[in-house]
Amino acid sequence: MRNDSKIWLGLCLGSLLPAASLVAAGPVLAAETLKIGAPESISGDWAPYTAAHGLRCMAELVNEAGEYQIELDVKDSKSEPQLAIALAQQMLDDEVVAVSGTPASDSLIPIAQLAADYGVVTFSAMNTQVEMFATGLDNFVTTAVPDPFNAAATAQVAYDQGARTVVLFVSDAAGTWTRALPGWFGEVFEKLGGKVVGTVEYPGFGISDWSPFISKLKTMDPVPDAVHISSINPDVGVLIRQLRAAGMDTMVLGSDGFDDVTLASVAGGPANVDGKVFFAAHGYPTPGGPLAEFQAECAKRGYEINGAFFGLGGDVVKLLVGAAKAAGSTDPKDMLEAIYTKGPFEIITAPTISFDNPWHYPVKEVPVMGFKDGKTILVSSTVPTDVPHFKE
Amino acid sequence: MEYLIEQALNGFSIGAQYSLLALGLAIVFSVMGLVNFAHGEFIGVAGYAMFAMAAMGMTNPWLLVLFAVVTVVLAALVIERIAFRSVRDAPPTTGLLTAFGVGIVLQNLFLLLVSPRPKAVPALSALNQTVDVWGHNFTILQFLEVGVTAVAIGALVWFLRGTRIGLAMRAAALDFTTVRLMGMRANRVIAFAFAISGLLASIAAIFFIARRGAIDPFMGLLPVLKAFVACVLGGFGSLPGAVIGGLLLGFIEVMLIVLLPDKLAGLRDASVFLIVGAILVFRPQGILGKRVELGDKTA
Repeated sequence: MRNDSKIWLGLCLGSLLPAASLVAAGPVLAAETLKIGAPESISGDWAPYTAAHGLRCMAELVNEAGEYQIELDVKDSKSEPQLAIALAQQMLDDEVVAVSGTPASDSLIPIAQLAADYGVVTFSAMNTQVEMFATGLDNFVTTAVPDPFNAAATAQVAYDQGARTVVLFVSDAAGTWTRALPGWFGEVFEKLGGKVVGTVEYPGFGISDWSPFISKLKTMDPVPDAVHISSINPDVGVLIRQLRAAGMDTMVLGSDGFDDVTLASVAGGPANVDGKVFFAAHGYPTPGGPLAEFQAECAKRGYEINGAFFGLGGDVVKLLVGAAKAAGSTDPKDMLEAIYTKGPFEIITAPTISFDNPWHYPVKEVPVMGFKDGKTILVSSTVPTDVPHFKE
Repeated sequence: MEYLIEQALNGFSIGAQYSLLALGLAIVFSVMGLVNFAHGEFIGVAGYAMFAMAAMGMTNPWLLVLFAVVTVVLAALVIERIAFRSVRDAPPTTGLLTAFGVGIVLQNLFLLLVSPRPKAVPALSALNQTVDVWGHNFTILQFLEVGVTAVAIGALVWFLRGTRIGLAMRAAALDFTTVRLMGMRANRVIAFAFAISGLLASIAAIFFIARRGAIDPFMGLLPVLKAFVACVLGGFGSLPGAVIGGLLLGFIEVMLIVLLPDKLAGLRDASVFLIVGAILVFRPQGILGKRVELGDKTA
């Protein structure tokens, strides 16, 4: 063979190789890519409630299904808003279609403002604060129902369980979540016929000794049937533990911060929580249901399951994929439009979720949980109708 | 009246914890001029040591307490040797940054080796049982906190006054160079200061964990800040000042919970620091701190 013939043969083979690899990888390349940035709270105060593991597992499942490819970039924000904002900026520059932050408004509002300039969706798997819907943001999506829904669902269960008087524990530690949520609970509770008999102000997170507050409760006449607090574990677990140690059988009502698998053990075991602790959360793994199946599948893959928050992470990925399908595009603006107008979408923590309301908050069933033998049980699962704060 | 007595004991028991931690901070500061902000992480070391042993099947609470105390004292000695000895002669800010670094490393070790999630440590929960004393209900833990703190302070006073190494530590607080010229080994004096600081922190940690029943990687951060405020209030470097500062801080916090009406409860923390600030206006050196004039060699 002449030298120039060899060169031509080489060039032909060289040009055929990429084509051959394209054919072999056909289905993969056909899949559309969704690049998601997630500065998540893998450590720090919010770590027990991180959705990072659920995001990862669902991305893995979607990628295996093949229709869409999720490129998920998870980084630890250490629960620090400033770090989350800096990480989000890097991810936006890296051309993500959606970006998250720490689950409170102090990081999500600035991140949403940054993301707006890029035309990118800002998401949170577990933010529930009403201020996210009151600041004129038009690119924010959460899969957790806002606090007034949580409060309304808990109030109904508290009343049904026999509570008639309640003391609200409030703080400025996490904005409306720790201060207004108990107030909304009280508003609905009083509408149902109960009475708010007092308010106790606590300084914030990290309390290891609730004794002075418990002493205050004990002097009340009559002693309240229940206390309501929206705070994080282990603080709420310690409160329950110390209430029981002080001989108080008071019902303890709470919000999604109670949804931590270690709550019952921190609270001192089944006797301290069974039938006396109730909280509204974001999903309950009914046996055979989508959340239970998702958790089981992910547990098999070695993921640590952190309550319903794990499912919320899965919800976000499923919602974004659903939005891309509904929009027929992976352009974040089209996806956001689809989320706001083309629901309901199938998710894991509830049968469906929709955002078709003036504020674009998520509407889905709110499960309220109690305890039996130290394990969480589903007490009710409803879409509350009489909800404070959001009035059209 | 019963309510006030109960709240007074609450104040003293919280204050006793602050005092123990403040004493540990003060003793290291008085000897080597270091504000050891990693001191709060000793609570975490005690907690995770107990958690690990409980997970391995150790159920006897006394053994768990003993193990926690020994672990914290050893950890204090190891940290002094590895982290602080090499920066002993560096400017104070280097020591301060080293302390922050040690604290962050310890927090991240708890986080990576165990979990970012809280873990239950219920071994000492029996101490939360209430006892009736002349018609008033108190927990065993509250008596232990006040009693053990008093004993620990008494033992520390004896140690500092009645032993050669204690005398050396007191002297080192005034003039370390002279102490070395007298033939005392600096390493030994400082190691003892860290060991005692670890011991006091471990006692505070036992009470902290008995009350809380749970541990998490960042549990030491808030207590060490309170202990720092207690030290400033009492007079930094003064051991009796640290005790008084801790007790006073605990007492002020609880009394503000009692006295401030609910509508003003949001001002509670501000009020605590307003009171602390007011005391420092009249006693800038702290309650028992010695006034230092420019040019004075010692505080």
